[in-house]
Amino acid sequence: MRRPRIRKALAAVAFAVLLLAIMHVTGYERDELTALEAGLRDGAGFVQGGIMQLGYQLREGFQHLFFFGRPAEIEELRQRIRELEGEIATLREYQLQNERLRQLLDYRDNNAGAETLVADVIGRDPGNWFGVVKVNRGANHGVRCDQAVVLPAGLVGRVIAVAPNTADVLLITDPRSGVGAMLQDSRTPGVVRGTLNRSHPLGMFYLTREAEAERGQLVVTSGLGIYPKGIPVGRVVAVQKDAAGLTLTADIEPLVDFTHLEEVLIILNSLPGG
Amino acid sequence: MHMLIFALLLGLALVLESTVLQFVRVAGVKPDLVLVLVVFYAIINGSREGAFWGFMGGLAQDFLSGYYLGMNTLSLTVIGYLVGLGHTRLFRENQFVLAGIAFLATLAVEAIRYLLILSLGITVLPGEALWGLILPLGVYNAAVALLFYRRFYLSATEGILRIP
Repeated sequence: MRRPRIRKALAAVAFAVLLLAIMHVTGYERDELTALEAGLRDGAGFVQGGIMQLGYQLREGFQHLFFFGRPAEIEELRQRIRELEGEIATLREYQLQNERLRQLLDYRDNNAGAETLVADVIGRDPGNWFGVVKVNRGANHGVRCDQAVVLPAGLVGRVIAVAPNTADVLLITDPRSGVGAMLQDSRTPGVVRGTLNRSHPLGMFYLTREAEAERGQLVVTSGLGIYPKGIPVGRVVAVQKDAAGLTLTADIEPLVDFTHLEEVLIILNSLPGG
Repeated sequence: MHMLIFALLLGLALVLESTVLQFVRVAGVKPDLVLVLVVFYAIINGSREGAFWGFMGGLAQDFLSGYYLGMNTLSLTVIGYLVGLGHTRLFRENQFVLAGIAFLATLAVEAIRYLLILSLGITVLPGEALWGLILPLGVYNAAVALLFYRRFYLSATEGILRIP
C-alpha cells in the first residue's frame, strides 16, 4: 500500500525537478532560437496577427459606438445612422493608422542616421508577469537580437529573439529590462528598470545622493549599454532615497503608451558596428 | 469528444490571452482564462483530471510564451491537482463558491510563479508583486469565474463537456 504512494511521490518530485531544469535553460538570454522554436513562433504569429487586426477594428468600433451611438428619434434613420457610424469607424481607423504612420515617417526624416524598419505588433506574452510583444518582422527583414525598438515618443525596448518572419521585443517595462539612462538636464546617470507598479511602471535606480532629480525632468538613454544615446525614456514623477539611504530612486512615467502599441520602429543599425 | 472540446476551449483561451485580452486590462492585469478553465475542470472532475489539464494548459502557455519552459506547466499542474482535491468536499454547484476557489487558486498559482521567477534571479519586490499583480488578478479571475461557471457546469454535467 505504501510503496505505490512513495513511487508516485518520487515521480512527482522527478517531474518537478525536470521542469525546473528545463526552465533554467530556456531563458531569453540565449544567442539564437532552435529551428522548432522559430517555426512555432512564426506559426503562432500568423494566427495572432489576424486576431489582433480584428481586435483593433472591434475596439475602434466599440469606442465609436460608445461616444456617438445615441438612439435617433426617427426609426428609419436609425439604420442609416448605424451604417454611417460603421463607415466613420472604418475611416477613423484609417485616419488613426495614417497619423501613426506619418509620425513614424517624421521620426525617420528627423533621424537620418538611423536605419529603421516599421513593424506591426501582432501578439503579446500570454501571462501578466513579463512585458514581451511579438512583431511581424524577423531575420528575413534584417532584424537581429539587441536592436533598439522605438516610437517617435520614446524608447519601447529591444529585440530579444528572432525567427525568420517574427521577432520578440522585450519592453522597457519588463522587470528583466535594464536601460542605461541619465537625467537630461544634470546628465546624472542611472539605470531604468521595469516594475510591477501600475501607476509608475518604470523606476530609475542608483542615482547619486547629490543628483538634482526633480519632478518633470526628462530621462534619456545614456549610450551606456546597447541603446543609442539620447532616446527619450520618460519623465520623473517622484524621487526618494533607497532603503539603505546611499542612492536615490526615481519613479518614472514612460513617454510611450505601452497598452496601445500597434506599430513600432526597429533601429536596424543601433548595434555597435551597424 | 469532451476532451477535444475542452482542448479547443483551452486553445481559444490561450489565443485570446496572447492577443485581444490586452484591450480588457483592468488595474494593469488581464484575466488568466487558462487557469480559470483548469479550475473549472478540476473541481468538477477531480485531481487526476485537474492535474492532467493543468499540465496541458501550462505546457501550451509555456510554448506560446517561448521562455522559461516549465514555469506555467509546473504551477498549473500543481494547482489543477490541489483544486481537484475539493471535487467531493466542496459545494461545486454554487458559482460563488467557485469564484472564491478561483481567487484562492490565482493567489496560489501566482505565488508559485513568483517563487520560480525569483529562482531565475529576476528582481521583483514582494509588495509590487502582491499589490500590482497577484491580488488584482485574483479578483479579476474570480469575476470571470462568477460570470462563466454556471454555463460551464451545466455543459460539464448535462451538455457537450460531460464525461460519458
